[in-house]
Amino acid sequence: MISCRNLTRRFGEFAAVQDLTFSVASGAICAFLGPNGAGKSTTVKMLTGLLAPSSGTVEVCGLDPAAKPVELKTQIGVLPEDLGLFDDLTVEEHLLLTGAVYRLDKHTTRARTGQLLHALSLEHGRHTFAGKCSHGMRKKTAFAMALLPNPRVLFLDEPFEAIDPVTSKIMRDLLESVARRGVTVFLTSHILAMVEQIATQLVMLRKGAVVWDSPIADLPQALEQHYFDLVEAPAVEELEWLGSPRS
Amino acid sequence: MQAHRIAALVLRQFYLLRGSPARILPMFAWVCIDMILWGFITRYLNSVAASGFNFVPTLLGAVLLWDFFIRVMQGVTTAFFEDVWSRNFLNFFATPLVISEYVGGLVLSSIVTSAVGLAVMLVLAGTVFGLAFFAFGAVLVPFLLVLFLFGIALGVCATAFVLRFGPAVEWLIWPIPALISPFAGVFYPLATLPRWMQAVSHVLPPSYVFESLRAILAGRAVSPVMLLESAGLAIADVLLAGWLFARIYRHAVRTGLIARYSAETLS
Repeated sequence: MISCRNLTRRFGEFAAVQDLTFSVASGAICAFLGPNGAGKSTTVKMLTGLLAPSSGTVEVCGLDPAAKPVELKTQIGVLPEDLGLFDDLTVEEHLLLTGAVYRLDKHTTRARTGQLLHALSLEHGRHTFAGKCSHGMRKKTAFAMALLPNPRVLFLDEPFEAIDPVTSKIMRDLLESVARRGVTVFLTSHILAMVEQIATQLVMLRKGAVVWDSPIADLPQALEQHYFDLVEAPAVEELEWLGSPRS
Repeated sequence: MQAHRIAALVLRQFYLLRGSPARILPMFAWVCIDMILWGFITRYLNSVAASGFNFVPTLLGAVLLWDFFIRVMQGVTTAFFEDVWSRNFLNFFATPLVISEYVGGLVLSSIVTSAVGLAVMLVLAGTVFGLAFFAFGAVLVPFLLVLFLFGIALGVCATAFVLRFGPAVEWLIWPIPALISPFAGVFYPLATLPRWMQAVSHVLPPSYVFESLRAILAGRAVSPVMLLESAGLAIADVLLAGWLFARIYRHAVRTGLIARYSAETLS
């Protein structure tokens, strides 16, 4: 469903992503892991047609994002890291607007909006302006916007960051449910415990290059340890002045 | 280009206006202030001028038309800035929306907001200061059309400029009408200007509108050639602006400049 070969993106001399090659099957939940600045968001932008690759090829739903951007974008849903909400639009208005952009008829949009608000426990806040919503509500709204057009592939940029455990569980259950129905999920995350629970495939990135790509069952050790070994080992320093008596 | 996606952008503007009175106020507040200020200036000038010359249609009529042009331009740029300020510009293009539909949505939003501003100005200038705007007759249609087209062209150019050089250059956009006004001859005949300024005026469609306005007030006929020339220039400007925006957008996608419009900036 998603495949890229030798995908590279340069910004001047700096290679944000270099020679990325991997593929994701239909119905998989692929976690795309790496530290900040590893090139995850740049890759997602190229997969969703927001950024042209410097070289290499990309295919999503059998389409090249550069050659058939509109056809591709009608088949994908995107949860951007910055959520893409307007502070002065209500939760419901965001969903109605999404329906209008994807040309869903009003009846379908309203029906799906109601169902998504219910499934994500957002009914009580449907008329709340996004600017007044909690972070969890904002994330669920953006998640609902990504689901509303019934996409074949979902791209989620850090969906589990900064949300409470209940919201996290609701989103995880929904993702597992849509994946069982054949929707491919491609997500980036720093929350390894959540990734371990939900992902069926892992792709790890270090300095713009793939260092691991396998089904989660093929991991030779616990995900966190494997991540530290391959991607970035934490350097913990003792700060002796912390906790010492103040003069 | 799909009409439903352009309509969706207008719907977004409608939701934003409905949700925030602070956005509705500027649609008519500044034009009201301009009408009141210039209305009283013209009254004063009428009272002290010995010639009996009526300043109301000359000055207030010109201010009304110029303000209409500014509203059109700012209608486009403000709708674009909404997306820049909320860091949503890039996110829009994760949907099937294409750049021509996006610009179409900005233009359509501008038509609505500038029409509100125009209506408010007409009511205020007519009822309070006695400006018989419709007495100019059918020639108002090409006047407004030329100013509208040029406002759209300039608005689209301004957004292309921000897209190319980044949100930080936004402050350069707001004074554009003030920079153009001396060349457009809003309040005085172009003959008043030095030759080099007149040369600039001749490529600005509004200058033909204001020259024609003064010709009517002086009892002369409006030159159809002049109107056609200004309409031709305005249409050419719109096409040029559309081409420029599309070119800069493609450049931004190709080079990665567009990534500056997302929350995660490049290091």
